[in-house]
Amino acid sequence: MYELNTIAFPVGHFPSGGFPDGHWPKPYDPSSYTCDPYLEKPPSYILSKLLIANDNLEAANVDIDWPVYVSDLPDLIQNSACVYDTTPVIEPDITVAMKTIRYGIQVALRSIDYAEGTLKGEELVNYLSVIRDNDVFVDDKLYRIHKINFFSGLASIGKDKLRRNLFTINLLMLVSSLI
Amino acid sequence: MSYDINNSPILIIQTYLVNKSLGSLPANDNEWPLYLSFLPDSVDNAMCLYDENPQIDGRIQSTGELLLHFGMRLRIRNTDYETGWAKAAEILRDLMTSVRQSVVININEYLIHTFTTYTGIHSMGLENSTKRRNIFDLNFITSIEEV
Repeated sequence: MYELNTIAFPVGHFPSGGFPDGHWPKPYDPSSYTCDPYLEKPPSYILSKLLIANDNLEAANVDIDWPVYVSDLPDLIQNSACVYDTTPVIEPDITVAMKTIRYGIQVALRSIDYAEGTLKGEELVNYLSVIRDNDVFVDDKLYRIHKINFFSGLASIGKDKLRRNLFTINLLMLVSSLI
Repeated sequence: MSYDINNSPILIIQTYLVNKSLGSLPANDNEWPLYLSFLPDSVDNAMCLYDENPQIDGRIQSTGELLLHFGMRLRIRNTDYETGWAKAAEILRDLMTSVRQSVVININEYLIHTFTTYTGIHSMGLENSTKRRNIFDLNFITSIEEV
């Protein structure tokens, strides 16, 4: 069963003649979104903060191993990571007033040593796969990452021109802003 | 809702966004200039509207009325990733919560019934130049009627 305005309808059923109160629901009422479709911060930025808070990766810095960048990975000679926003998926409406948006994310890793990159990638996959309603502060605002769905596991995509190893993790993320 | 309108769809949406202070006319030299169909290279933080494929949703047999949604792309370019995303989110929020908006261009009045997006904000990566500016796209369709 599916609830809207406290009135339950079977999934897939759209009542003919409008809803019982005589009105069709207003389209795109933001309060009805199960996940925030208008995040003020990029989802990639929010996820990078969570990975830093959990000590999987470090804040962007040229002097340490495994710094994480957002959207733009500089050409440093070190192990590093970058989180990119990719195509989001808006789930099909069951009614016109209900939507869920899953943000597309790619976590890219670049390592000098193949085994080291694999280990870091597996560490990230293991952590991301157990996320359930994890909260993270981003610039004094609280965000909740509800769940992550993977397109695939850790993918090795070869080497770059400097023969550094490249890996990617592609996923969809449900996230809300709480304050 | 048909092709029979006196101004291009992107001009109508440009006017709508400027009226809502979500963008500015390029000639006014303010923040977030909103160009039509061509985004000049000289401005770092700017937006541009492009006409895209329209979506024809059929025709009402009794009246012959064509059910037409104009396709559009709004491209947002910014030197700072987070600022560009925030601008895209601000505009997306407005478009997705607006219905039956009136726009007047010279002597022509238009009614924008609604906006629909299927994809949300697209991060398109960095520009293919040394300026390393971030690109975001919003793809949507809209139904416009001349009143």
